[in-house]
Amino acid sequence: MIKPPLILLVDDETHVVNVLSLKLRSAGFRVHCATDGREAINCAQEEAPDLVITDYRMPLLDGRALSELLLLDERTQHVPVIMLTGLSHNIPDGNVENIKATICKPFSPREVLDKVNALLNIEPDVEDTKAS
Amino acid sequence: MTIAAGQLDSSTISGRLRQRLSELGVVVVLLKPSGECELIGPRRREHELIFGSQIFTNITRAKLRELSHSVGHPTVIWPGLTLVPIGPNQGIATFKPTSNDTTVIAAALLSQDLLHSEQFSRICDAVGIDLQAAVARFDQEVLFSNMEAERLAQVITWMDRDAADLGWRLHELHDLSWELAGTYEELSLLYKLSMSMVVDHPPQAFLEQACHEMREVVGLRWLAIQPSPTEHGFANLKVPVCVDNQSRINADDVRRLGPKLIERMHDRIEPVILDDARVLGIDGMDRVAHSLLLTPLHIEGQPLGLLYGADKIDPGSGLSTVDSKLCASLGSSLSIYLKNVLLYDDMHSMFLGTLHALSTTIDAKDSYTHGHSERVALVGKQLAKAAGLDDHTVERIYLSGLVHDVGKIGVPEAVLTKPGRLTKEEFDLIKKHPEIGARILEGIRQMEDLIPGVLYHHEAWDGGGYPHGLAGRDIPLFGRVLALADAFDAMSSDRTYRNAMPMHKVLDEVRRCSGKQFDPDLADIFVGLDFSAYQEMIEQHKNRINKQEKEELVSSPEVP
Repeated sequence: MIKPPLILLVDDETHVVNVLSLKLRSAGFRVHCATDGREAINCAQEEAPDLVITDYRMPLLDGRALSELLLLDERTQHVPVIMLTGLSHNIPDGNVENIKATICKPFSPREVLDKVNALLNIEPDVEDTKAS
Repeated sequence: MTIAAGQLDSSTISGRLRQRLSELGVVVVLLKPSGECELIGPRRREHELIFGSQIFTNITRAKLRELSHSVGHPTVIWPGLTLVPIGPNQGIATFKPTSNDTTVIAAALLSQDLLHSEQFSRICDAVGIDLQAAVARFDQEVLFSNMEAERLAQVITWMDRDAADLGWRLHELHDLSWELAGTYEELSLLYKLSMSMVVDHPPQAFLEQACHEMREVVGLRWLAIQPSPTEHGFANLKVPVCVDNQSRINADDVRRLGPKLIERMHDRIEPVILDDARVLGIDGMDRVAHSLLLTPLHIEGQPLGLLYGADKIDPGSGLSTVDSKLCASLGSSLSIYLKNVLLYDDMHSMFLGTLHALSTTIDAKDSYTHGHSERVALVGKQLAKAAGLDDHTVERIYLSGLVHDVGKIGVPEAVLTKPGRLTKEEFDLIKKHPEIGARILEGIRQMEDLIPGVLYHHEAWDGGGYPHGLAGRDIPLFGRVLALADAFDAMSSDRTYRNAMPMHKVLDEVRRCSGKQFDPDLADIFVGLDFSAYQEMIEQHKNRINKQEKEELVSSPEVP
């Protein structure tokens, strides 16, 4: 059996992690979670994810620095990153090539899932119903 | 790695418990209703001897139901053999125990007493093993001391309770996260709606988008927004309807429902849930909806419309007060938007009306130029559109055309209407009108972008125009467009000093002056325009003049 795609989810706000993790798992993805950039790098080195969703502002290592580090490692350099940002802070200028999308908080989990499917070229599952 | 909702389910929790037990050297047994016993994890021949025996099978089969109800409680099967039932009836799974599932998973503790038990010697007899030899094989790796076994049973009980607790908590986290996900959707929708309520864009697109997003978030089969039919500002709006892909419901059927529902909701201001839509007695309701959620849209008692939707997509749930509250808050945002659409429409028609009044005033000074400003506006707009300019710019060029001659108010009427040639002094007076016009509009913020058309519509491409003698692309676009439209109308209509030129001659003249008086690119486009609307307008204006002249003739005798 083919393993479902692995998403690495990084945010220091656990409620965000919980909501997205549940949404992604119920859509059939495997999810690894981390609460800061360092932990995320360790996770990514353990098993390279197919996609990373990360908050921008986090302690220790922010989302942008995390993306840059992912670019440096050949196992993760092609992994697309979705950046979650608060409204008040814009991402500093200068493109990081693996950041493929930026989603503003408050975000819609549904839209995040659509974006993940789009970036991974997955036809969305029509039966995306609430798991019991 | 961080643990999050949905990650650890009941099976991984009890799996972890079993893993830890086998690390402690505790055997885990799976007891099936058939009496069969399966060992989970590392086991030894000695274990197989005990748990594979007929005696064990017989006793546990008889006690299976009792064991399945005593999860987390040590049960002594016989001296020296204790079972502590643990998962899989753990955490989430305990919420829905199935009646026929009496499979039991238990930690099995063997202690010193086992060797002295009557059951042990019977097991040895049954398989023909010498009791003393068997006792010698059951060393410390298989047996705990009696005290150890007792304590271990207690620890396993605690571990099991903690695992169950963790299961509960994860279940709660799971539920809360689902709820939170729903709240996220609502929050992001409300935010998106309030951010995209820009009224100077056509409201149709916004309302359709809003309808689409709201339907998905509320989870309805369809949703529609019926603006109040009595308001003129909504006259050109097509009722936005969004229907779920899977439902074969005709959007027009939903549209037909709107006015009828508004009638029924007369005077109500709170949302209404109808679990059975048939009570309304509207024909064809069966085809469209079983249950309805109706949210009146209003501001300070002024009815603005109705947000109406039907049936939850999730077959398990009906419309609830949560849905109606959400629709009420979405509805109040929508109401503000609709009210703004009306206000904007009012303001815009007032603005247009003022500009038309202004242009009529200018043209009234000289009956020969009657309707000139409107025709220049019309042709200017056609040219701008043909040149591929965006809708907003096209509209602004039209407005600029309406007021391009406003400065003529400052030119003496005698000069404006003088038949025949003008003296240089008179012509100098005429040449002031662009600057006078620009000054008139200067202070009005909403018209500032129209000024270039007013100020520069007499500039020429080769630099020979007035007031500033600009050339080429230094002349603002509005000026270049209106210069063509203005000259075209001057040539095509009767003037005090000559009659109208025929259309083909006018166009020849435009071609001849391309690159001299006119922007050559615009002139190229201009000669290809369709002038039928323009000619219709000229006829209308002529008729109006004739009518006015007749009325003046009739009424003049009464003038003293």
